[in-house]
Amino acid sequence: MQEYGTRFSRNAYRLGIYGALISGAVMFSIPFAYMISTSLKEDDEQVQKDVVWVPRLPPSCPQSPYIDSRGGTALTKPDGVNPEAWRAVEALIAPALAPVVNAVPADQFGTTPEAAGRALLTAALWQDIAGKIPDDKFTAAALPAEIARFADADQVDKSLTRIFRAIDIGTVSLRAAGESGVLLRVGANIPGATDPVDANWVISEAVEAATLSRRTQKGRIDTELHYDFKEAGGFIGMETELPFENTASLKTFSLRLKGDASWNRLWTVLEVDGKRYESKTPYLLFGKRYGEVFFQLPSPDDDNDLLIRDWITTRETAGKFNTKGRVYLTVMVENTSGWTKTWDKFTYNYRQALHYIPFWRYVLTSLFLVCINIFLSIFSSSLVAYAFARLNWPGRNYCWALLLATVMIPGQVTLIPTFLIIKWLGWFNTLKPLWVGHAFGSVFFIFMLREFMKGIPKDLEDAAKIDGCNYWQIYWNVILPLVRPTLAAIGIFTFMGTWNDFMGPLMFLSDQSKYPLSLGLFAFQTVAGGNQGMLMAASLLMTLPVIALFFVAQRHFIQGLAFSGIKG
Amino acid sequence: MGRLKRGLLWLGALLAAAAIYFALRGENAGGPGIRLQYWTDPASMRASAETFENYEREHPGVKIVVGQSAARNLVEDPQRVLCSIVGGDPPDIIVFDRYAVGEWAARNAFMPLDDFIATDAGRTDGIKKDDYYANCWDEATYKSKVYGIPIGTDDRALYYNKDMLIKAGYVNGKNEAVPPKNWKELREYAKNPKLSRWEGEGAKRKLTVAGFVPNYGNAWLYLYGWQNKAKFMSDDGKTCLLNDKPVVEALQFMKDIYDDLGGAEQVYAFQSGLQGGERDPFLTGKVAMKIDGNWTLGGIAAYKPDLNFGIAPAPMKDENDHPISWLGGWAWVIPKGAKHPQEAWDLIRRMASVETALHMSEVARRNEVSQGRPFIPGLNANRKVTEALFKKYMEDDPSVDPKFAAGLKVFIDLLPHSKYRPVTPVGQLLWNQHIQAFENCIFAKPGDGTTAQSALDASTAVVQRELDRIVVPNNGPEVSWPVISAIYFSVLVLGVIAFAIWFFTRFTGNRQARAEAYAGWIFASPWMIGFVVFTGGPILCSLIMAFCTYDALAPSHFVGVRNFQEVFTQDPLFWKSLYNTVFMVLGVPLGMVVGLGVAMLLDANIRHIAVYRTLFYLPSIVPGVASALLWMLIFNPNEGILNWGLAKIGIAGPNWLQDPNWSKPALIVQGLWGAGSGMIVWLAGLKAIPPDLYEAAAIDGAGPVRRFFHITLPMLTPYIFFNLVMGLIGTFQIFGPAYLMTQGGPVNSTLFYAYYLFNQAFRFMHMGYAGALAWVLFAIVFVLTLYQLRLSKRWVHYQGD
Repeated sequence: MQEYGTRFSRNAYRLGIYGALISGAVMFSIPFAYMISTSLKEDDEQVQKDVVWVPRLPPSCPQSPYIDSRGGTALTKPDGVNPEAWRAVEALIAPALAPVVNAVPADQFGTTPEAAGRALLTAALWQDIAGKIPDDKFTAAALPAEIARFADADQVDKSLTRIFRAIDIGTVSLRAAGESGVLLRVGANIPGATDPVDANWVISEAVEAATLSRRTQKGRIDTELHYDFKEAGGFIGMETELPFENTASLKTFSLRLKGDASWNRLWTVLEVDGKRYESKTPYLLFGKRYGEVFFQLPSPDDDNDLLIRDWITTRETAGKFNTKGRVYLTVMVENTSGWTKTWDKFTYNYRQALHYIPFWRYVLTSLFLVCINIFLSIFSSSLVAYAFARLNWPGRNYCWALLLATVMIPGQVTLIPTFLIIKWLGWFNTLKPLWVGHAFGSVFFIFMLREFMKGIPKDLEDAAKIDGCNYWQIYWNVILPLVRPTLAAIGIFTFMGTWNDFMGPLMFLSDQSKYPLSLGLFAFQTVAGGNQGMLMAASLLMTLPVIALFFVAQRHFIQGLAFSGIKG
Repeated sequence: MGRLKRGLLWLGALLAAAAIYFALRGENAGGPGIRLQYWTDPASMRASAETFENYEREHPGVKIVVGQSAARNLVEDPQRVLCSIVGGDPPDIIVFDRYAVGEWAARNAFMPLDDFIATDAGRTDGIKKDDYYANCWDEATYKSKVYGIPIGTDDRALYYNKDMLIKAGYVNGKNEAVPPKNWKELREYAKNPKLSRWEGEGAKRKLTVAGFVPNYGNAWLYLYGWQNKAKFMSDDGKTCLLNDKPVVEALQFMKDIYDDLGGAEQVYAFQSGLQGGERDPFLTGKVAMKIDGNWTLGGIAAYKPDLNFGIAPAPMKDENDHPISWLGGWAWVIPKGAKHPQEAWDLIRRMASVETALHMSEVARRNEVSQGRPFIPGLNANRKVTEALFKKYMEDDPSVDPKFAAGLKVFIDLLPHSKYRPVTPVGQLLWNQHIQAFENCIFAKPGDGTTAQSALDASTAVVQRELDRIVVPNNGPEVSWPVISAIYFSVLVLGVIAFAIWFFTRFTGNRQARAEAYAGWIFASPWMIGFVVFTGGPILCSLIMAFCTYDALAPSHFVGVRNFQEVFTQDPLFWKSLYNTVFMVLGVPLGMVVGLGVAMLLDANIRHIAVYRTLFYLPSIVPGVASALLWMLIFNPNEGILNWGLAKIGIAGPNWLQDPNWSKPALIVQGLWGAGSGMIVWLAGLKAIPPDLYEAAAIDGAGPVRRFFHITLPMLTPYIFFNLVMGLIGTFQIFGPAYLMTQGGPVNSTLFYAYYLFNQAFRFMHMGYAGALAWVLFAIVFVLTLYQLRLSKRWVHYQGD
């Protein structure tokens, strides 16, 4: 259109168009950008006070243990306290906390320098006790006493634990088929340790960069792994021999451990009966709380298993040693580069989603349905629309009224009778109900095509008739090429309708192995619950193929549009 | 042309490949032997997996197929269970919400289990009533027959933040926090400005910290009613006592606290900003006390284990009464028509044992700790299991903070004194109506005449009407579906024959016209076949249903026009949902304007147009489920990007989905985001306008505006018409957002017609009533469409005509 008018108006016009296009595109993509940003965040990043667009980068931690500096060293005002009162007492807090903070031995801060450690601890301690102090005690006279009351040694310990990061490994459990599992207490091999343990960890190769220490608290024995990758290379490992009888039918093993929020990788190798099982994927040390990591030995029905896979699978490799009747476990920490850590963190949700559900199986089912449905609905809808738009036959108007009327009945009310028909046909729990219906044309598309076919000039058809074409030839050679853009639109609509439909599969499928992606995602949503990042990642994984397809196909599709202008 | 053919060929090839793949894979994975279908919620699947393994090893030939119901709520969203039972292919065991067991049993959906229990009497591992808490057991019993074996259970108590209570001065001699003892104290605590806090004055006054909100957490009117000795249903089950004096007093008590806090709207605005998980207001000190279920203990242990809190029985109206609570939970049921009831029972027996429960809890514990959360065991309807779990995971575990053990103990001690929702065929309706009455009452303004009494009266009337119909059915003859199908098919066949006779004897056209008629029929036949087989029958069925009572499980009876009468005269929600739906029609022209605007921009001849097209089209590609999730994040009043963005330009955003006045506009905004899907149709329309028209106009000196109004718009009229008709029909059937995002709330502000209809059909199982609603909607849409069709003759311009 912009080829007319003066040069000035043309330029203004172009500018306006570009402005509108760019601002519109930005507005339309903001929610989508937020979706991507959310999918890159880890669980605790979702609950920020302010909106955060850029996901956090993983920290650089060549040394562990250390004090987490993310909480900062600032002392914050609790809600509800008068700002003026706060300004008056703010400076008193750090001195009031100093005695307890300084009482902490210097070696409690790990590899963090002592001064920085104490500052971080002061802030954390204040954060933990500030809410307990009544508002009217925020006076120079009363506050120090209140601080002294709440900030006791016990509280200091709790606050320090909250910001102290280390790799702690607790119990190891092994489970053979049909058994409920053996829980093993494994301690560090430290001379003079008297706690009873079932097995002892030792550092794999004696390197000075790594040490083990034992922490015993609340009846638990944990082994803390200290490392310094500034000194050593890429891997630091610890290993132990485990007392376990039923080696032949060992199925799973698990480690109770706490990560050090470093995003380093943790690998395991289990050697049993001369076989060696390496974890296929690393466990990422991002957590701060205790967790249990499960590893599953390879089993023949790995691929058919439709359970939510919250374990790490292992692969069998050739054993190096003869370990008949014995079980050796090696745990290794891999120091990864900043880039690798960033990659690991940003792809974490995606990999979890792919690992949790049989994604590719769902994709295949969806693809099958999409292909067959596009083919069927384009073909049959255009046939029927042709009959309604261009042919005269007795009963046409009654049928048209009936066809229109059927769209107006809400689908929910015909659900049960439809289900009974499907059941009667023996199609329940098969994919047939999800595609056979498209062979009969969709009312929406028939309506759409009819509207556009009615717009085609009669002379084209008459000319074809004079040339001796029959109705099929007119439909195929004259009408179809002219409504090609609409057919393409129908193709896209059908693709999206099928790709996104979850109500149909929900009704007609009961085997999870037959789920298409849409229902798989819906089911995943009921499992993943509050984990927004993982849900968004799964949703994006489901959306990306369609985006790619649209991006690639739209050029052909729009070309088709451009050449179809009908000269009236 | 060649491209189209090639495209079709490619599709065909892909199709063949896919078909071969599926043929090779086989549709039926099952071999010989028994396939025992077990439906449960996905969260517990992993915990059961090892138990199933062991069962399968002991019962060779039996394979347990765990089905995920894939529904968020089996009871409120039960179309799948219902269909499977109606269709005669139900699972063998369902883990079912216990309070609904009686209601479904009344509809004859489940098998009574008494015979199994009697046969098992001699077995040491048999299921014995005495092992169970009596109230849990009775909740799954209907008309003295057992229909479900109770499993997990839960009850409610008062959580209080000790630090906040101490700070407000509620302490005893030893400086320990003292929770309120009775209703009077509870109300005083709640309105104490040292506990509840407000900001601002007058109209801007905002609740920022709440001492106590009666229905925040999980209390409901039921709890306060029971505390006041209300019964809700008469003993003979024939009278609904929802408007009895004790309930009225209880509701008044709740309303009083809401009013003390500044009125329900203010409290809801406060609540709308509240979240779960780590930001749970009880953990962050925004709520000092709440009545909630034992399941929230786990959240405290996970996110704020050092919170200084206590748990006490919810304060009674009279502190001298023994404290009570109310319980809910799950039960195993065997549906009617299950193929392998005996094997199902064997599995239930095994799963109900203490050993299995301990084992499953161990797996559940591992699952919790694997996600970094400590494990707090749940309660079980089996007394022995509850005690064993408490001992193993609380008493014998030195690493557990004693406050959690003490808290859980309160819940366990309350279990024998817990009430349960009345077991009645109208249970679901009673539940929804009791919420309805509560919302109507607390949101009532002083002037509009709604009191606790009147709100409860109205709700009671609805429940009682339904109840009367069940007690003394006043129905016409039974509907015989086979006869109706036979009539349907004979009418069809006779019609075709009559038409054929007419055509061959009276049709006046020439050979050409005959040929065209044959061609027309052949070309239209796909739709005709589809209509006869898949559409006509169900539609006819829904029409007949509209004049019947029908719950899908029991035979249906004709009731004349009663359903329609009720729709128009006795159903305020019908009007409410109709209003909500009509409101959404606003989105249709808006969507058309946005869609057309975008399409016109994209029609321009500009570089990188593919990128823009994709960007504008993106939103329509995002699957509905994902889009719903995303927009719930965006609309979050406190942390969503929408209000964040508005705040940047100085606008205080509303509470969107949580505000009854803003929920519908919010959904319209969301709909506009997806307006790109219409863009495709608009683009097709724009491209079909012959360029010479513009050239001619330009030569005549018409500017862009005139060209738009005199060429573009008139040439687009068929597309406008199509979008308008389809948009209206689509809007009147809007369902997804309500189903996926709002569940009709808040205060029924997004209860759209189709969603209301769906609820009537599946939640309350009023299929007949839903049929009537559907046909009323049909009538409305039909009239509107006819009107549009008639009008269209004046303004729609077809090039071909």
